[in-house]
Amino acid sequence: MPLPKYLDDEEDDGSGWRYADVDLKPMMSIVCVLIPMLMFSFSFFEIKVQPVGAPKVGFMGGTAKGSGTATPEELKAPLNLTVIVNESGFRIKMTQEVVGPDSDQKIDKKTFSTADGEKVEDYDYPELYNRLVEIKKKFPEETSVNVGAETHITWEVVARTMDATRSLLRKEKYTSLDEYTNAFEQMDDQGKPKRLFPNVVFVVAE
Amino acid sequence: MADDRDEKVGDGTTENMSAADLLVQMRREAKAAAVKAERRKVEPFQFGFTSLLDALVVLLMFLLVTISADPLNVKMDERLLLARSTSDFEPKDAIPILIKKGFIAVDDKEVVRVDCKMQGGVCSDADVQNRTKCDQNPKQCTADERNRLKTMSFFVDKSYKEDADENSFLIVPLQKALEELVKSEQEENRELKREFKGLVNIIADRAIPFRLIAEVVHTAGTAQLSNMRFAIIKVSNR
Repeated sequence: MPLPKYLDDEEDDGSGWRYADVDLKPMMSIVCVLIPMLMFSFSFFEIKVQPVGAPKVGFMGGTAKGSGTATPEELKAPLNLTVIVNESGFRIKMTQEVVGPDSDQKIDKKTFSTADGEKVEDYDYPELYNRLVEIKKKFPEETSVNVGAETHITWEVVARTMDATRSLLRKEKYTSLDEYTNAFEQMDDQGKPKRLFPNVVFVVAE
Repeated sequence: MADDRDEKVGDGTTENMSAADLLVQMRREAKAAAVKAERRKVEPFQFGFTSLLDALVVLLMFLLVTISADPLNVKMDERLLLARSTSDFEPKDAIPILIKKGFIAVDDKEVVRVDCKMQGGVCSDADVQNRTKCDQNPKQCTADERNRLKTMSFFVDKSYKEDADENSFLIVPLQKALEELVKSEQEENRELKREFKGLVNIIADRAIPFRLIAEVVHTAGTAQLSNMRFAIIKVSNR
């Protein structure tokens, strides 16, 4: 009996078994369709997260309320360190009984020179970091910071502010924006970054 | 004498060559001809699929594993550009809330429309696209264009808020959607004897104002989701 067409190329090894090359073209077609599909839905950026506590609405009035699950420890925090972002710059607030006359500090926006020589007005993140390092030196046990902003301040500015509060950098003081933006974090013995005020809680001024 | 003979053989001239030299020469020529003939006999070129398929299958596996392991699975477009941060916290599986320039979605379902106004009027699609383009690469836009686009403001209409009050922080349709998800997650956790952690991943565009972020966070809080994580693009410079 003649062999069917698809078996024409088969080779008989003499023991009754017939061997044929697998036709890979259909599988190649499927793989070639799947790969662009997956690459289209693939994110080429490294996505991480910033953990944040629920907001304390009306914090500026002195009493925490609302949906937040601020722990009793947070509510009893003696320092109550708060960073507010507004149109003109930053405002750092702390409990006056604990800190004294420095309980309300302002950091105005500043004009920085970029690497291209362009003058850009931006928030003074290096100065905010410098002040937070000073506060951390005075209150090394404190780990919480309340971060808030005026209603129209964009999320990007708030995220950068949270960056300034989270980690301790290699130097304690930075003056230029370039030096600050490229600074590396300090690492502990286990290779983990040393933290400044890592527990961020949102605060909304009413 | 022997050196002299070698030179002659090397020259390739058959004059004054000994029989032995001629034999050596003929053997060399025969060998060269055989090699040439062998080369001519080589089969026509065939494309080898197997090694290419191996590489593609490895690439396919890499993509499948990476995509299935990413709990956020963020796809950025002209209405979603994440903020940059140096934060190094790993994302975890949680209920996702997406805040784009145009809508808020829960678990990939659009629940609330986000409106946009700019200089007293409504923003056009082109304005929104330009804003994303300028945010991504400020050098592509002029200073005037950047300043104009910075006046853009995103907000949720008061009709979606509690008691249609503009000052309210509670977005009602978002709360309902979140409560449904929380309920089903709590039931699932009860069956699996796991603790409900109230985790929520907020994937927000970098141009969204703090007011809208605070409204979403407050609404999530009322739906028992108080452990919030904001998605960011990890960068090395802050």
